[in-house]
Amino acid sequence: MEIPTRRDFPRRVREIENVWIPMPDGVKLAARIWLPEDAEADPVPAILEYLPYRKRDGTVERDHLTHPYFAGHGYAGVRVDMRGTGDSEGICKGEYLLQEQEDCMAVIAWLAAQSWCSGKVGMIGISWGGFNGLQLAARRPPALGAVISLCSTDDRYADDIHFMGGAVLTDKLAWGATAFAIAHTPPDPAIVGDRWRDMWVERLEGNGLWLLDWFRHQRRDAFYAHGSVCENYADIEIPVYMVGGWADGYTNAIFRALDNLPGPKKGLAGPWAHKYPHFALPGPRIGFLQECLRWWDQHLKGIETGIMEEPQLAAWIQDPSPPAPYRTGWPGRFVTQTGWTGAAAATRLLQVGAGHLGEEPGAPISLSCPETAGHSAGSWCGYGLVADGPLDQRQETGMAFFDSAPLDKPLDLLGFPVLTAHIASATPQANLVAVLSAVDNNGKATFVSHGVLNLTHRDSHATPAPLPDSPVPVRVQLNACGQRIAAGQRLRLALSTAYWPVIWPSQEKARLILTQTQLALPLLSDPGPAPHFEPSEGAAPLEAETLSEGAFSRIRTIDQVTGLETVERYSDTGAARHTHTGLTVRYTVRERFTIHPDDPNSATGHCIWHKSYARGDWRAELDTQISVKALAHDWQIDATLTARDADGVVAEKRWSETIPRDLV
Amino acid sequence: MTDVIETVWIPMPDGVKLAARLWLPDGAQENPVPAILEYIPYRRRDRTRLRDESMHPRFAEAGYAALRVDQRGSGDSEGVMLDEYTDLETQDGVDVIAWIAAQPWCDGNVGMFGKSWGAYNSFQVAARRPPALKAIAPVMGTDDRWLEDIHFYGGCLAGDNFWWGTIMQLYNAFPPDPEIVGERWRAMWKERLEAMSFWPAQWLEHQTRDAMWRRGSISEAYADVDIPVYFFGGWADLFRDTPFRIAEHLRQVKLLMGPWAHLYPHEGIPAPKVDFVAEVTRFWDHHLKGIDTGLMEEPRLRFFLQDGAPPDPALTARTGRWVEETVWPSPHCFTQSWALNADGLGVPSGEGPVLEICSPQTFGSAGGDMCSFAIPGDMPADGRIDAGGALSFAGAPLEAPLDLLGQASVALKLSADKPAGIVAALLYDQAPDGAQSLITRGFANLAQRNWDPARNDPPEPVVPGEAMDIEVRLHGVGYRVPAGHRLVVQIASAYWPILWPAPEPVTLSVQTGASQLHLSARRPVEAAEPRVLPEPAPPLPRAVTVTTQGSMARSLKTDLTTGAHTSRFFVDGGVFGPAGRLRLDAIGTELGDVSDRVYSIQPDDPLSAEASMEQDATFTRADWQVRVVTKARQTATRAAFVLDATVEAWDGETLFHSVEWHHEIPRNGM
Repeated sequence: MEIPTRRDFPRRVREIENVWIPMPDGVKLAARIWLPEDAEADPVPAILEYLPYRKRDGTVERDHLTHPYFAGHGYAGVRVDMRGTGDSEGICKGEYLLQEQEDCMAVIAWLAAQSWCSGKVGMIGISWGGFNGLQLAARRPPALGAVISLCSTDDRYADDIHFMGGAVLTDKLAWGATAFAIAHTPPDPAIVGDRWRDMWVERLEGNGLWLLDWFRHQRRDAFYAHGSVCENYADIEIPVYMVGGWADGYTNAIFRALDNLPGPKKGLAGPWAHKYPHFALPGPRIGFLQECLRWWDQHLKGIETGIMEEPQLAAWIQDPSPPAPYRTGWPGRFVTQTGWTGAAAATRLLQVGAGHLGEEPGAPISLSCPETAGHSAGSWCGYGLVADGPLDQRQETGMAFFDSAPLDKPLDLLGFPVLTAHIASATPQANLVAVLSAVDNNGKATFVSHGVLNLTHRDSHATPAPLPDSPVPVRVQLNACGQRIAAGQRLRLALSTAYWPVIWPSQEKARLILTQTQLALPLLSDPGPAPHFEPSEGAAPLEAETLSEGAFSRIRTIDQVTGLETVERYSDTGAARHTHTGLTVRYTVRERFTIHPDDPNSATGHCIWHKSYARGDWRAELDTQISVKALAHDWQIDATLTARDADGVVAEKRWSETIPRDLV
Repeated sequence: MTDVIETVWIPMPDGVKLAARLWLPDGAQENPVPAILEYIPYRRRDRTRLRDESMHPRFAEAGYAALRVDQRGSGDSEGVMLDEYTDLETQDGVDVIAWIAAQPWCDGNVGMFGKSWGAYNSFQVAARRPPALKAIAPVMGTDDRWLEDIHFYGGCLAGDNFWWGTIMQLYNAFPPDPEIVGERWRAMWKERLEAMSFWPAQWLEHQTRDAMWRRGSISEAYADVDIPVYFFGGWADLFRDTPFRIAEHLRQVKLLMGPWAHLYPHEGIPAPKVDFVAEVTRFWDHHLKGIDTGLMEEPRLRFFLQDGAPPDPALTARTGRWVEETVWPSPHCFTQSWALNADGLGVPSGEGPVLEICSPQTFGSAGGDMCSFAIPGDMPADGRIDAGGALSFAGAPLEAPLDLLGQASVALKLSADKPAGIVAALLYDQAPDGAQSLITRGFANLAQRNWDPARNDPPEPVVPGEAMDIEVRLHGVGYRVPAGHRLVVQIASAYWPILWPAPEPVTLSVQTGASQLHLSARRPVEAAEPRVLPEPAPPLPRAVTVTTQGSMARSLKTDLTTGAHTSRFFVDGGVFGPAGRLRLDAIGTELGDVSDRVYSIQPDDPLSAEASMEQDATFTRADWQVRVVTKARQTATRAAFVLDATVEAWDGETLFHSVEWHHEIPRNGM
């Protein structure tokens, strides 16, 4: 995260290491606040970031870049640990619960009432904190004046880490395991005192295995409608700035929000992965904090910054570039659009069939792919830090490829590609995967976008229906993209019935026949004036000492004897001691996904986390394991958890549950 | 009762004595019998003992003196062995036959057989025309050491040159058995160890079809072989062209081509197995005893026409039918040509667009091994595994089944952008569900495009951009492509690890329309059902104790952060599979053999190619404890092949001998 450091701020900053925010039921939430030294005399708006990821150690790297920066520019940067996480009291039983929103309403009210606060509050957050920014905007707490929501969603079913097009993402397990580990970490005795162990035990007994609920709900029922602001966009009246990037998993929401939010709004889609744009990769990074200040000044201080006069959407159009799973930068250019409604203003329609992508109507396509197809996809949601992005797409195994002729002139895409077809399926449930890539004349294929549809969800995610014997029309919307295809490159559409290890396989081996298959490409017709962004900068970075180096690997192994294929990802943060707290923190995670090419019911995922925290004699360690098997009719879920401190085992827990599959 | 003589010594004219195991039929001393010779370097005393016992006793029961002779410098035989198929080895074979024919138990008629090495030297010895040699039965061997051996495939350097060479690196370091040779075993062992060289490097000094490869290639003068030949082969084996060439060129040939990997047909996998001993005994009876078994009245050439089957790298059985031909080329077979058009395989429609391909260096990971031993995982996998690295030309679904028999070829019009390059052409059977089963494949080295076996000109560098006609000859096969399936041709510029890559990534520009696939198709033939082949009896219990269960692993790892491939093949049990540690009950020797082969390469860098092989083999019996540890590694620079290898030979706890080799061998058009 090395970015230029800004130390000279208009206002001197002081930090409140911890403050307790009382909830109506008596539970107290822990907050860390940076604010101008003179805020009591000259009150400032508060910028709230509200997360379960541990202000004490989990998000410190980025908090140190961001919140003091806001403080130095006349805001109170506030990092609050959600109930049941970090140093806060209570328990946390899941994502985006009503309790979380109620607590946040109370936090906002408390902030607005502080003597150093002007009474105005803004919310900023990425991912979970982006979600709850939108959710709180819809709750309309009086003090909340504006939101910046990054890498988030307006629709918890359509575009979250649980599902893609109604198919279950393997990240439902991987994220479930990540959240499981986070939710069972202890508070810091340096903040909460001797009661730390009792608080930890309360969490270990109470927080639970969230992903059981996630697997119990497989269609778009009330569980996912809750917290999805798309249920009623009109609830949101305050200004919203939606930000994300093409390498992230949540970029579609930017376009949908611009299309649907009734109030003031802006959208920004860069080349970035799931990170704040002032330190995200792939670059170029931008002066995102300066952009935030323009937004906050406009909406929380009533200063006319001109930001609302600018085009609503700024988007990075990626230049053609060879495939690479890790990139420090992706060449291209920013374009702007005055607004975004529905689809792109212009589309190009291509016919798909018999190995080609072109003008001629295509022949019927017979599709039944090995369950191992998909390994070159890269992570569903990239963080940009490691080489987990899409690989050369020509390495893909067993997908059907449809190539266009080489383009005679460049083509700029912006928006959602859409595949339509009539599909006859031999089985009542099947998935269709469409991957768009750009092929160089040497054969290398760079990923552009992908889309998935669980065909039982062809008409609705809420009321899926088994596939009939006769062909049905389907529409698969691929993820939004901004990409230049060069003259001489070919477009490739790859179709598949499997996408491993991105989604769990269908219940039975799928056999599809596609007819009238067409691909509509969204064209960028008018690039608009280039937007202006300042260069990236931040406040002084976290001081920490590296005690052991980290490691990362991502390996696919085909056992050529049994045919089983395993994709394993291992990551070790290494041990680091944070200077400001003296805490030494280390995580390791091993995620293993195994499947046989001929047997969808062989799919197994296994995630193993280890987390350790130590300072002096104090230490706390957590080991968790979760495995999920996608059986023909059921999900088989098994999990264990062991928590230890310096005296030994604090808690050992075990879960095992069989959950019927619901047309997924 | 057969008299089994553990060791007889056969003197060579230079005084060296070769060790043989002899199975002598009852009464042979009084009523001499013909003899059957198997002559190989793989140790009759222990390593091939069990296999020998599946064949030789049955020859004896059928009234033949059966001999399993250790070649000079191998097993318990004296002397040293400096290379494969040397003139000395062949002369020794001739002298062994003369000695056999002169024995009182021999009636003066000798037959010779053997698989692989033993097939090669059956041909080679036959070409010397020893008077007593009346017939040979080569199983899975070659008539041409350049065209069809483990060294070069289509004139491209085979990964197997390294792999097989390392197997011999190990075998060459094995000692004779003290129980057979007595106290002098250490001296004999030392002599062998000191004579060792690293054969993969020795062979790489010869990157064209020079005199070394001509030596022992009967294709140089087929007429030299003027006795009856019964050749046995398998489509999953390496040697699939030799049968067609010898059927065309040798005077008296009988062929049996089954579905098998590199195994004797009575142990043949994929099934169906054939009782090799019974079948070949009919041949011996005919030519060594003068009994008319009717064998030579049958159509001489018999092929297993394999049914298309889903890709399975661990295939154990396949369906199909036996078909017969009387001559080759066959009047039943004809050339069926397809154009490689831009939109797939079709009728010639004139020159289409030029398509380019620069395959990732990892292309070929679906290929299995060229020479399968039917060890699970060593046969070709689904061609889709790396199809994206090749140009693919798919035909329309076939309306009727298509029978292929013989050798196909792909005639390419192409240019390349680098002075050295290779082409792999793969012919696949694509099922309606998209799965691709390999039918056959072939390779070409662009620098040898004008190669003429008679002249052996040096390789000619490619002129970048210059149009070339490249004929890629695909290996022979018998295969029925089912109706509704498609033929798919893949053209690639790499084929790792079966082929060592060219020094730079090469882009091939293929002229569509003008490039063609020529199949050898077979029209439906009305014919009587061929004679039912003898089925092997269930194998007898082996006189062996498994002291440690074997294991194996064969995997392909892709580092998804770099795209690098690592293929690993680990066997605890030896070249024929995961047998573990075995004690041979009859002699008390316990054998161990662990090998670990690793091939790795980066997708964009041919100079990242690396092959390594580590082996650890033991002989243990009471106070005889021998261990041989070998390591070997091959890499390449732009200019040279680099080979490093070591051998350690342990006598109990004592390091008895060690050697270290380093070779840098200039690339010569490879």
